[in-house]
Amino acid sequence: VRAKEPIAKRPRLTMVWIGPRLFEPGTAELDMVAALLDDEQEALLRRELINAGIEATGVSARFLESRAGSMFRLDVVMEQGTDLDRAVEQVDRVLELLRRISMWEERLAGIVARHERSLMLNLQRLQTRAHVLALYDSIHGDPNTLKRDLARYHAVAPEGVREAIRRFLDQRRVVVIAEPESAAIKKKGQ
Amino acid sequence: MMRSAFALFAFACASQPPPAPAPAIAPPLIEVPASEKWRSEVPGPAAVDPKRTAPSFRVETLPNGLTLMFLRIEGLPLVSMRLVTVGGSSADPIAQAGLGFLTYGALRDTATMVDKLGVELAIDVDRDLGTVEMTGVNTTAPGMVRQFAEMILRPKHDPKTLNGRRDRHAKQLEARSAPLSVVGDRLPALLFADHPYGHPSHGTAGSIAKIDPAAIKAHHAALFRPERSALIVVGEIELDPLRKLAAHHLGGWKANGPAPGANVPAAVARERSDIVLIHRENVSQAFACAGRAVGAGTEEEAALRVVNQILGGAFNSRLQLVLRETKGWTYGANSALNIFRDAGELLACTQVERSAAAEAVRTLLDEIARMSSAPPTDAEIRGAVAGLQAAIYGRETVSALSRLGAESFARNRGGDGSARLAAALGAVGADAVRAMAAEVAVRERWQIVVVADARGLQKELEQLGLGTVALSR
Repeated sequence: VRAKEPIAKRPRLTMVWIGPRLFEPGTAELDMVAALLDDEQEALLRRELINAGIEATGVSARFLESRAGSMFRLDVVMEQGTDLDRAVEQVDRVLELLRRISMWEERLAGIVARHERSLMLNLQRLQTRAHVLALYDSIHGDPNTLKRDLARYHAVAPEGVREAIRRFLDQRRVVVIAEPESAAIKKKGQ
Repeated sequence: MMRSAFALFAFACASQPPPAPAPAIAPPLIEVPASEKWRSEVPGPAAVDPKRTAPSFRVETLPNGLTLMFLRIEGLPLVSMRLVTVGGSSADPIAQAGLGFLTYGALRDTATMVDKLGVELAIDVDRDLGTVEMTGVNTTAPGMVRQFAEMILRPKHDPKTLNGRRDRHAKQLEARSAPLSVVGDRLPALLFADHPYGHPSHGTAGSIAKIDPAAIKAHHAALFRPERSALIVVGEIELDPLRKLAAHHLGGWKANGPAPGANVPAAVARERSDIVLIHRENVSQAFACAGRAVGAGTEEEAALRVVNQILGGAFNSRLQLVLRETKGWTYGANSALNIFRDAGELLACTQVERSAAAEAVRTLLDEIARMSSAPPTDAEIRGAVAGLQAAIYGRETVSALSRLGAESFARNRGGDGSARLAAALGAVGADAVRAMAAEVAVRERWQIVVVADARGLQKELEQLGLGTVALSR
């Protein structure tokens, strides 16, 4: 989908894949893929795009679980004039890199630990604890399933991550390119 | 000096006018079923748990002078560790504002274990303290202490990396345009002038450019001293192993060279009021902030906190009721009290549509003045005290609790500083609150910053007769 953006001055690339349903196999792995790409310590996707000459100013990778089917979403905001088709190619290259190269494996344990930390931090406040426990109750019929939730993350292994990328993050996706009208006008003028 | 000024004022104002009646509650817009009458009633005070206690830290000192503050919290396998060092941005040399900010920021270059541990790292510099906090699951505690030692004792001060960090920070400062950021940059100088608190902790683009890697390295050596630092630990963790970890990794920490000035002079509220109008082209909203310096003495603190709570510190505070509920100009109008070691600041701010900007500034100042002409009522004082105490007793997270420990350490309050503050709030008298409210209301001590599209607004503000309006960009 290509759209003209009337207000923003920079182009945005959004790529969305449909993933497994809430708590089904593959969800924890895709959550870890999102964390690998858009990590608080080292944003792999941004680094790889910049190394490839794509001037990415904002990058985010998110995995959003829901009952009917989850959503894996990448957003990349770039400088004006960036070749957007090339940006799509480069995102594909990074995903392929993750699938083939083992460079990230040693970081996986840290990312799982960070996820566990985030989950625990959420349980500190009464309000967010009630939200999390209500979610468990609605899904499993039992609010006391924190251990079950954590277990799926503790079970994440490099091979499972590769398999999740191969199975879910393929060509069956929606690609939205929003290009500022001002950039199009500029190109015409050139 | 501020303490004695406040004390004198409190004495002079011992007899105050009768309290104003509580604001009326508007009638409900829809018919309330007879069985749900409670919907139209103002809730009474919440029941207080008689067993509630304020957090109390166990405080020890290592042989090298490092303070260890410990609070065990059970229920979740989490721990927050906070290494705090006295000497925040007030230790910056005048020409190098932001040196502390860059020095603490450089610690990230040595934080190589954070990723592997899966802990959250936060670094903050305020006017008095530099803070490095790590939060994570409790099994990572040994790694956290080791990481602290690496950062403090063996920092990586690579000149190229430090220069890159400095240049990025300077660019970010240059690009700051959000009204809140702009006000935050301008207010310190307006409130504190050439006092060590008179510059933003993160520096300015101009001052940052003057800082080189050698200055950061030297500042690190001067700032990080065990006798002026504390390791504050909160969470589900045992004290004995923690004590051993601290001794093993941080016991060899020794101070190098002379310390930067430990004490800064008490700040005094300026007696001349200014309105600074900062122009931002085509922004539809106006952000207005009034601020003044206040005393930081322990005796005044409880009364000041109550006054702030009544003015704008809570959702049902006066500013909110008038600017949001009555006038309908804004989503929120608030005040905030920031207490430092040697002074404090009281800020009252709101964001409104440009068309209401001048009237909003006048109303903001009217409400401040009303703290004297319509002094806090007994009901307002009771509500404010209950809210403030609940905030102390109700800290839920390990991070919030370790922050309480840092605040106590910064002000030499020992391990039970929070309990003492809660008690002081409970004991504060209505006369003291009203005297403080009258002192706070003195118009000439408030400085004002407005960020808006200034076209036409300068004239509108001048017509209010509130003082000179200086246009700035």
